[in-house]
Amino acid sequence: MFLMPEDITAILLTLKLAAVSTAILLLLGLPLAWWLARTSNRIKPIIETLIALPLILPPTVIGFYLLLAFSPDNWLASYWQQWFGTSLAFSFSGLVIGSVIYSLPFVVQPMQSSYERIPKLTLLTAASLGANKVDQFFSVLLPMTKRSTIAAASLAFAHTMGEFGVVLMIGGNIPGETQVISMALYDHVESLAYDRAHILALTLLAMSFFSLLIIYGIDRRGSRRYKNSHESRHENNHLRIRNAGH
Amino acid sequence: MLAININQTLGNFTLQVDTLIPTDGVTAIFGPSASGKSTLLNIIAGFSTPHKSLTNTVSFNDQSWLKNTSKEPFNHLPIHQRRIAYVTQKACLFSHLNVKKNLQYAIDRRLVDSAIDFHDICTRLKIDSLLDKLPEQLSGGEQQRVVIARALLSAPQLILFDEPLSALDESHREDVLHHLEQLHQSFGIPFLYVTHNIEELMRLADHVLLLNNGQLVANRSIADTLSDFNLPLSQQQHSGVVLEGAIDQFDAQYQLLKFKLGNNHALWISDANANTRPQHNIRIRVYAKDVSITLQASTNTSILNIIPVVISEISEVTNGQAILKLNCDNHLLLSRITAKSIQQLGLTVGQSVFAQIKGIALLGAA
Repeated sequence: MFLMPEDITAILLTLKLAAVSTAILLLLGLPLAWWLARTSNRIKPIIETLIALPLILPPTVIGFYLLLAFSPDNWLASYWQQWFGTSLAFSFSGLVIGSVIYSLPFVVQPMQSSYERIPKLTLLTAASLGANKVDQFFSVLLPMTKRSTIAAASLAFAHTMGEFGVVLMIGGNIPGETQVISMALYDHVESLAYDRAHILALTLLAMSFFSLLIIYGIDRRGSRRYKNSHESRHENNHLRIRNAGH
Repeated sequence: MLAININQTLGNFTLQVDTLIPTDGVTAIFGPSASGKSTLLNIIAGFSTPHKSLTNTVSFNDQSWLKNTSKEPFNHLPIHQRRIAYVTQKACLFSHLNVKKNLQYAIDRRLVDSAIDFHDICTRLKIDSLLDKLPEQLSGGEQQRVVIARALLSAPQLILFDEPLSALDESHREDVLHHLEQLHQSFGIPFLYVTHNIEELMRLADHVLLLNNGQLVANRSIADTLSDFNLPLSQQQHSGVVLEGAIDQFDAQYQLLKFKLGNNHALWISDANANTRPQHNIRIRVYAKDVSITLQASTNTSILNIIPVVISEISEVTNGQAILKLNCDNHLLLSRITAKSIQQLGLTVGQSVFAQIKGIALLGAA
């Protein structure tokens, strides 16, 4: 059993999609999580609800609305077309947008809880010593929640690799552009190519296994090393609960 | 000068303090618990923001930190631009950095050049051997010493302390208090020190803001605060005075220090370490209960310190006792004696008598 070139393309595309989406999720999700952890703004519950929606909605619903949003007569899509000269629908960029929305709760929710556990006084102390908000984020918040951040990134990565419904709706199954492992697998099963389906399924299973292993590996090492530290122990417990939930 | 006009309401509690605070030495904010001390400190630091409908101003030596009046809109200098350091009862070290990096964190973010030296501070606070340790590996007292070192190394224009010793056990408290005494006025950085502990007040404070139930009761020097009969401190069990002055000489044979009291008088203070004592200026404490009155200077007594004084005030009698305020060359002493003694000796205001001082505590550097 060997991987066919198209299958390798699908695997590489899946990894690229997961990597790009995870990077964007961190850039977007961490500041959003920090804002949610600190704000008492009235619109906070609305934002939290919106972020949590992908957890309970069928991915096809998100995919359907994204498909509408990406249609050329939509103002958003037409702006995109103007700026970048390409269409969003049936494109890699469209897939990234879908993945980011779909996996956002997997980054924002655990990170928000993590940030809420950092005592307010810790950041105020950093401020009094001369650290502005951005400095506080990079010098205190990020290192103190390092393990949560790696875990959240791994979860987002694994979750993006395994998505199917959103891709089905907005991807169009174009090899090298939008055909990810889960889509290629579906195709193989449709055409009764069970051997190739097996290899892809096993590949995705292995990749997901190792992504999750990172999370639990960090968790275990963390609990051992920080046995006596209250804060870190909280961080671990919290991860365990969250991960068990998914 | 730290000029504050702070108004804050929290439920039924109202904090209202409009005053000027000197920016040299240690100013203690003293009062019973729930008198608004920490709330006041937090607003000065910018850690909490008072309600925008209330008038609030905080300015430090002409630098506006908080301005919210009916004439001017809300204006707030961000905490990181205030050049303050804050020391709370819970040592707030960064748990992901070792001691050295915690200290470096402050040095890296200095807003002004400063001569405050890393090695000097580490030596003074005896934390040289802790530099490679993580905060969680330190005792409570060690953590608090590192926090104080970090505060000084940030080269602040003001250090705020919120009951920094209250979470420590007795031996660590004494250790940290000792270091604070030594640092007191060393770097010309003013301290604003919240406490409800009279011992800390007597040992550290130069100036006192007395708070009760959110209201400012007094804003005076430590000497005035302790000896004013209208203020609660002079009436309590451990009332007394603190005196500051120069060491005049050291009697090596008897291990005694001679502390000058005005131009003509002196007190002898027992001090085993006196010959190695680096400070020239010291602070001493004399409790009112350790001062008795005699009409003639007696020579056949074990009491070393018998000085001529003038009775300047006699308090009301409570529980059969009264407090006398005594003046010796413009230095004040308090004496707690029984009402019966006052009557038997016929003591009156303006009378010249002798104070016999049974015990004097040497507090530290002044």
